[in-house]
Amino acid sequence: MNADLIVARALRKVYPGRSERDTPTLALEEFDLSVAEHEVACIVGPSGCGKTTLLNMIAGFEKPSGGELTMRGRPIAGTSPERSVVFQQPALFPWLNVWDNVTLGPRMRGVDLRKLAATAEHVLTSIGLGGFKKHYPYQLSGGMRQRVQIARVLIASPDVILMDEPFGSLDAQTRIIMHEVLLRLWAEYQPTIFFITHDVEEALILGDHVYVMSRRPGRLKAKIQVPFPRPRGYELIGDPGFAALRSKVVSMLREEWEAR
Amino acid sequence: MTRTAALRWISLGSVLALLGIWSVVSWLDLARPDALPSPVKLFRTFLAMLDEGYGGSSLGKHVGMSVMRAISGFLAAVILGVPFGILVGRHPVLSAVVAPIIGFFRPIPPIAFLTLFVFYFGIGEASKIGLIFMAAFWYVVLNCADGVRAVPELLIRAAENSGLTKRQLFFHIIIPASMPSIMTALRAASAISWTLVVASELLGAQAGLGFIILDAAQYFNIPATFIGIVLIGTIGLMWELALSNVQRHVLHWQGR
Repeated sequence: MNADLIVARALRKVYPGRSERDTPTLALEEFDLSVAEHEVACIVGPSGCGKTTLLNMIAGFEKPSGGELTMRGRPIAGTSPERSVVFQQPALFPWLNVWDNVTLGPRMRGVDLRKLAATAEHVLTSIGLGGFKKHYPYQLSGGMRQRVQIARVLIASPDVILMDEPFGSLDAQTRIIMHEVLLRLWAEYQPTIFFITHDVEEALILGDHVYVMSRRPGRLKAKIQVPFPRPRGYELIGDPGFAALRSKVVSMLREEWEAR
Repeated sequence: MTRTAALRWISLGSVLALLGIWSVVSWLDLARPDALPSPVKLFRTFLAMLDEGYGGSSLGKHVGMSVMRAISGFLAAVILGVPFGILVGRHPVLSAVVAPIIGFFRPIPPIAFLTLFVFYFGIGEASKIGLIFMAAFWYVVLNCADGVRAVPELLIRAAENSGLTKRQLFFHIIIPASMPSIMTALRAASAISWTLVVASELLGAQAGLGFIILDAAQYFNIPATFIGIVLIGTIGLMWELALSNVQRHVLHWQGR
């Protein structure tokens, strides 16, 4: 396997209460994790276990309360396009069309416009938005908005793409299409992907590893290798090995549910 | 026919219906003709006033004076109020300083300050434009500050994550994201400015639509009073339509 890209050691996150009398909330404690370069890491866990907190800390939106969180051995400080986020809600700028939404970051950083145009053209075409460059977000469906977010992230050629249940609000069919889009993009760009989901099937189709988290305060309960070869497709669901792995992960999650 | 077009015809129909009812009321002598002149009589008065002017000034001058006062107060309120409101929205400390002051002055009808303004700034333009400015300014500040505060955290995070600097975040995200509130502020301010111009001309004006209304009513010149009122209504409506077109153009991305 490749070198570790993102490493968490004894990571801890506490949210203070609103007032001094409120008890603080311990979101993560003694959390260990290592994600390798080019890996698709899928995080599953009961709701409220601190998945999003973890993602927000890797993204640099929030600071750890204790422990270590590093990328390539350097502590993560602040947000940066090298750790690009695909948000659960389509976080597009409604006053910009698809093209301007996707290219905003690089334009602001002064990337050469001709080079940028070529890259943007390629990314938009490969994600199936080639004909929608002039469309505004309000003219797009939920699935297309998420594609725009993914295109915006790809164009920054980040070291890691952080995805927080990006397909959670899409209907079942659009989700399947988005999984195929994502698998295809991964084959082309091979980014490291940190993917949060509550859908075990989604995790097993997309991931190289599935990281199962415990209930709050979140700890790493298990790191499960997903052995199915790439390229993967939806026929995988019929595979007996897939079904067995799926019920293994589901029963781990159930333990966490029932222990509450 | 699209639904919008149909609704537009309905609006036109309601105007015609109102004129129709008014004509019928006049024809049937349901109201005293000196209290409610007929539309025809008003139209004749209007033509005469176009010809002869009113109170020594042409009708154009009256309209021009009122529009000039309203626009001066409005523009001053917008030019100073929008940036100030954005600052208030961005800085909680400044907001804490300003909130009680606005909270105190807001419920007071601006007219209450009319006599004081005349006392402070004299009977000329300064007191009139000043009154309009003061009333519109706070609306602009409040709406803009609210708009800036309401920019979704999600968009700010997305922008920061894309590598925007603080300055770029302000000019390329905060400002456009607040545009809907800024436009609302402009529309409210324009309505206030036009409403207040009439009130401001009640004291010591020699020209203006407010002056016509007050002066004509004092001499029981009811048709001229009506002309003043109709002109105020018509100009206000046109102004409002123009602004709402600007708004639709600026906020086309809302898809409405």
